[in-house]
Amino acid sequence: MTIKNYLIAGSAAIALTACGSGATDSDIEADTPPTQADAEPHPLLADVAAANYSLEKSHAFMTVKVGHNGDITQYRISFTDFDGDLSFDPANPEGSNISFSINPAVVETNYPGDYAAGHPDSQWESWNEDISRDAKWLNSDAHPEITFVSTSAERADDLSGTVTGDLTLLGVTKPVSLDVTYNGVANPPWFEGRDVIGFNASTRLNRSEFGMAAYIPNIGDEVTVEFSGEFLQDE
Amino acid sequence: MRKLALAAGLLAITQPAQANPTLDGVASGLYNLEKSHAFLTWTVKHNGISSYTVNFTDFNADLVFDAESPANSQLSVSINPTALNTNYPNAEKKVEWESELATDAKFMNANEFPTITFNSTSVAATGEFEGTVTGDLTFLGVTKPVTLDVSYGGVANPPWFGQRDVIGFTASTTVTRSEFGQDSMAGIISDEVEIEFSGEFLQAEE
Repeated sequence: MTIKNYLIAGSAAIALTACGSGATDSDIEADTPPTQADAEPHPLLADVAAANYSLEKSHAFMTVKVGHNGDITQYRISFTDFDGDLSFDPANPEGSNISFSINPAVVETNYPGDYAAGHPDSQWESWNEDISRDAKWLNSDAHPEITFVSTSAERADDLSGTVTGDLTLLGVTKPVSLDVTYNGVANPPWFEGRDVIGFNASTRLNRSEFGMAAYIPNIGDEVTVEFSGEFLQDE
Repeated sequence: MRKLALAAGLLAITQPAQANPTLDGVASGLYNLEKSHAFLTWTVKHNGISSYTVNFTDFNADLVFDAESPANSQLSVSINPTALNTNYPNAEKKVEWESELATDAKFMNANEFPTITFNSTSVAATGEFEGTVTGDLTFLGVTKPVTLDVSYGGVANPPWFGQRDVIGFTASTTVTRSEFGQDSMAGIISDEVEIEFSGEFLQAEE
């Protein structure tokens, strides 16, 4: 892409993402969208390399939101060590494959103050460590990896769809569907022609289905997982 | 059939959570932010293709809440712009990057402007548990009116707080950073900044 296209693509992506993301049920019930054979690619997909991409970790965020105190607020936990591999074909996004690997031993709750001093009976040094390692939470000593491996993808419209895959959390594997929006492509000069493509994704799941049932309902069973990040074309 | 099953599955996971808030019996008066259950983030678009989200990790808020007439409530917020968490994936660079964000004149410029404040000037109810809070936001020494969209999430009474009420809110707004004099990296970092809050307020002790 040229720099000019890159700026145009960026502006369009902002306009698109401002309209919200995610499939609605009317999208889902719609007929199968036209295939590449009978439609021009969307402008945001027109000049994107079909290639393998890896997560550009310095521009990638994955946050878990869970209701607290009977859902009066949403508590936020961020994963800060995760990776993703994506094989992406702009002419056939449904054929794409994505996998995520998340290190549950590293989370960020932005807990204020001195957790250890305020919790002398806790065996953990920090609230982050408690969430990561305690057997009632992410139990990361026993289950040191969370993975998601896509099994199918379905297009809802030109730039959004669902990606279904196997989520393995706490040693339990269940199918989960992500609502995914493709935001566009950028070509920062320091990546020397390699494409950078951006996505938002979200899903909801019930943690009890993976065996994590502590404090339901004071801490909600349903968790929302949100991702926004960039993938860099492999060299 | 497979498609129907998929659609049913998606509907199941996209239903919003059933909230059941009430204002009945909620104490009016002063509440302070319950800092261990409070999140304040700002999000900008990066290169137009992803959302970059940073947490403020040191902020406080006082709420004078009128449970009978929420529109009479008052909110004041104070934010330390040097306390940021970017979740940057390299520990050494994380420190450098957050320091740059905090102090560089093109970003938070916190040596010159060590506090961000918001003081409400008016509150309007738009629904039983929703409303708008308009107030003066002071950022980088510039004060402008900003309106927050606010939802009341309900009340809780954890036993460790005795009889004191804990009430939860979510709030969001979008500000235009150039209006506060920050126009760095235009075209790479969006001018619009989404602010999101979710947190609890604890009734002050008498």
